[in-house]
Amino acid sequence: MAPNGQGDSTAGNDKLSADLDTNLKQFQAVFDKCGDIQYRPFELNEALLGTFIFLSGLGNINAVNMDLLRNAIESSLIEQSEALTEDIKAAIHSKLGFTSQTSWSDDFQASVDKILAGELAVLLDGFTSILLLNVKELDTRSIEEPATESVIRGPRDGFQENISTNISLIRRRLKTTQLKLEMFTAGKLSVTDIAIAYLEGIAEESLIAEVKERVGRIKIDAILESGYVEELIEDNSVSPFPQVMVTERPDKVVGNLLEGKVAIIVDNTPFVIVVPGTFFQLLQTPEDYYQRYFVASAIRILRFIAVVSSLLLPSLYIALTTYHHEMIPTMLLISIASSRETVPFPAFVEAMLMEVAFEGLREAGVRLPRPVGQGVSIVGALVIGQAAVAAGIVSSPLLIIVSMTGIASFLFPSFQLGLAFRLLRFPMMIAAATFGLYGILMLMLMLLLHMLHLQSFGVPYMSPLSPLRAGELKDVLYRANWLKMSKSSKSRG
Amino acid sequence: MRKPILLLLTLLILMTQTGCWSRIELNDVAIVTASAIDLAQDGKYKLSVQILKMKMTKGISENGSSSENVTLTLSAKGDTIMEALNVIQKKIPRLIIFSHNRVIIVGEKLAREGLAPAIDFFSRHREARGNSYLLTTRGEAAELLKVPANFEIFTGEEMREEEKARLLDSASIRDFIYRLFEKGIEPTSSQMQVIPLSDPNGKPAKEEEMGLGLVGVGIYRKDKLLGWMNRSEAECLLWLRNRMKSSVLTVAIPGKDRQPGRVSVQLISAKTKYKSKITGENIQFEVAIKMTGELFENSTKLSIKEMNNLNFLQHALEKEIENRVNMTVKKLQTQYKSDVIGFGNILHRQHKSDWNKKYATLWEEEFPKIDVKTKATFKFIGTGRVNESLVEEEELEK
Repeated sequence: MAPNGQGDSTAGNDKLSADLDTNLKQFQAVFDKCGDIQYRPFELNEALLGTFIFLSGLGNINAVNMDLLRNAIESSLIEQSEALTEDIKAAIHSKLGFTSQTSWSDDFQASVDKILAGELAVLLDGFTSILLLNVKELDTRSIEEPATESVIRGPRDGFQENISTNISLIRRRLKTTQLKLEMFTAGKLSVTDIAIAYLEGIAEESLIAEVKERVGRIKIDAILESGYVEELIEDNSVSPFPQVMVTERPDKVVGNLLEGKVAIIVDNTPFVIVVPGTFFQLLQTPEDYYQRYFVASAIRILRFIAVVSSLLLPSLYIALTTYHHEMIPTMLLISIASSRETVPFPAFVEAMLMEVAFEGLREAGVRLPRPVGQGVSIVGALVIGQAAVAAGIVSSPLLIIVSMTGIASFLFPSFQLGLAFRLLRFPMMIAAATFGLYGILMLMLMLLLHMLHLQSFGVPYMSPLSPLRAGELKDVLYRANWLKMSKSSKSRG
Repeated sequence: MRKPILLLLTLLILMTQTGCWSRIELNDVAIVTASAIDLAQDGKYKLSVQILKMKMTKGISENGSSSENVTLTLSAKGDTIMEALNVIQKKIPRLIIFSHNRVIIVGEKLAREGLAPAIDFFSRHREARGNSYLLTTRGEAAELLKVPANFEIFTGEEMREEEKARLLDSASIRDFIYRLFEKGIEPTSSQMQVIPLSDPNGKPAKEEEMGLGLVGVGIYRKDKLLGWMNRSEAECLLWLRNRMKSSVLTVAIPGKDRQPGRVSVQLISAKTKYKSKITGENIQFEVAIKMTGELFENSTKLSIKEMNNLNFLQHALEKEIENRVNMTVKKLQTQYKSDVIGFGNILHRQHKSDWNKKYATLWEEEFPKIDVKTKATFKFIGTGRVNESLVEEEELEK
């Protein structure tokens, strides 16, 4: 939806004149060389001439509709051809009930903005106001299951590129006046619509104010995706950790709104930002709440194990095999040592090689078109996996470690958090290769210090674990029964 | 921007400040799986280490056959263990690491001379494990390393597994040193010998038929070996030290008629409590042993359906336990005069001031004089699948 509202108040420099030709020339000058702007003159009766101005492609209006429009305007204007009174405005409003929104504007610049946003402008000879009709109906794809966050049990609808569709997906889950949606635009050239959604009375006022302030502060030429907004509003832009939650799922957004979070919906992208983002929130999926709580709790624990192993497994392998031989059980050490016997590289180089190859494969899998992607997986599994071990370039225990790490990093519900851990794995491996377990410990301490220091919109990143709010841990470390959770005011129930 | 650069510089300086870099790749180490120390003719220490040959182990995991020797035994002599190790180190291109050395075998000759100087290396060396088992053997310790492993990949692991089962009193290096320094208790170590697997008396025809077996326990005073205790006495030590995992007890039941039978029970738990009493010059110990077990074999005619018979058996077992404990204690008191059970330790705990005043220094002389009274209680917690005695049933049919 364009920021039209009752749009008359928008400040502009140029006033419109009463003469159609003057107005038309003014518009033609502004829209010079804009090939997608269409002008369509019409005649209401002999005396009254007019022109439609609209964007081809953005506006969904055909010739039949235009004739209808013309007739409707004609019938309400037929008697009087004097100044535009409030009565006539009201008459047109009621007559044009079949289009979604109508407004009058006497400001030139505002009208230009609206035409660019996809509205149909009706210029009438003799009037200083322009009739703007919101006939915008963009071509979008249908609502599909989100590709990045699929669930076994749970709603299958996902956001798509149209902001009004996205808002409606949230609204149909929260049929309350408490759900507020505040509209902004940002981007000097893109003029992208941004909606800030929150539940009044549940989200904290200070948080809402902070989000509005930060979104209002955005100064950029264009916003093509919510990632731009994320980077411009996050607290610490040098941290590897995502400080906002990004999701394609309406149910996830609504769940977070119910927890007092604020959602930022950006036009032209299915990814909605939820702030503040905390570490543990990024490790949760909506499905945790749909499945039975025993199962969900077990899966959460599994996820914590995955977090640790995706970060530490390769570095532990390096540290243990090059520094701390005594920490590996004898028989295991023997089998590792014997398979490493023919490997010409140090453990660090070996691990680095495989991890880089794996990351490369993964990236290739994302970028390549689907039919080629299969080829990549064959190359990955056969060439890198089998052949490297058979040739004695890589030891098979390491291959197991790399695959386990890979699987663990797929367990992250948040792709962004998974990326952070994938990235951190490499410094961790370097630390392990230079200082052994001591190095791992030092880097872990640094990471922990950073994570504890990090804040997202005033909320500590590691909350509620630190600072400890014991009551909320039942929805962090495991997922308690709904009966127990409803006691907490901030829960989703 | 200044802060991260400063931090990075600090880190870089830190990196260069470390002394030695202990990084060593797995391909560059020689893993010691077992070591043996002997006293050579010329009074030097002879250190033998069993080192794993990695290429061979790979062959095994792939082919599944273990006919080839996967370990290499290296020996060298030196005035100290370290010196001997240094000689061995020069024989091979890889760094010898002791962090997986699970067994240390000591030859009888060295053990009788005193172990302390030899095991100092293993207690001091950063790599060596405190929980490596200490074994003593009659004859040359190095001989044990040459025995091919029957079940595990290498002999060291086989020895360790055998010790771990705790069928006889075992001792780790840490245990041994602890008991060496503790007053009122003397150290022991398991005795392991090369024994024929099939024939207990005759000599085996082929070398493959030899195996390693725990045959008893070495009794020490301070760090010097005094002698050995056989299997049944060593089992008794386990009960007395509350360390039994499982054991078998067999007792002969004389029976009312001519045919005596035997009853074998699997011991499931053994709990021993000590109570000490000092009356004048005399020290009295009351040893209460509580055991439970399951009946596994009954060749008497007694039907265990009868409560009386069960009580009778339990009583017989109690008697047997008491006998064996008394014999073991007597042997320790008279033959070795070494308190490996730790009566002194118990006295120290129960009569602290008396111990500190009188016995702490004199315990070696005092121990043979103490009076030990044993009271055993045995309880069946299971009698197996059969109630009636098979022997009796046969007679009923006639």
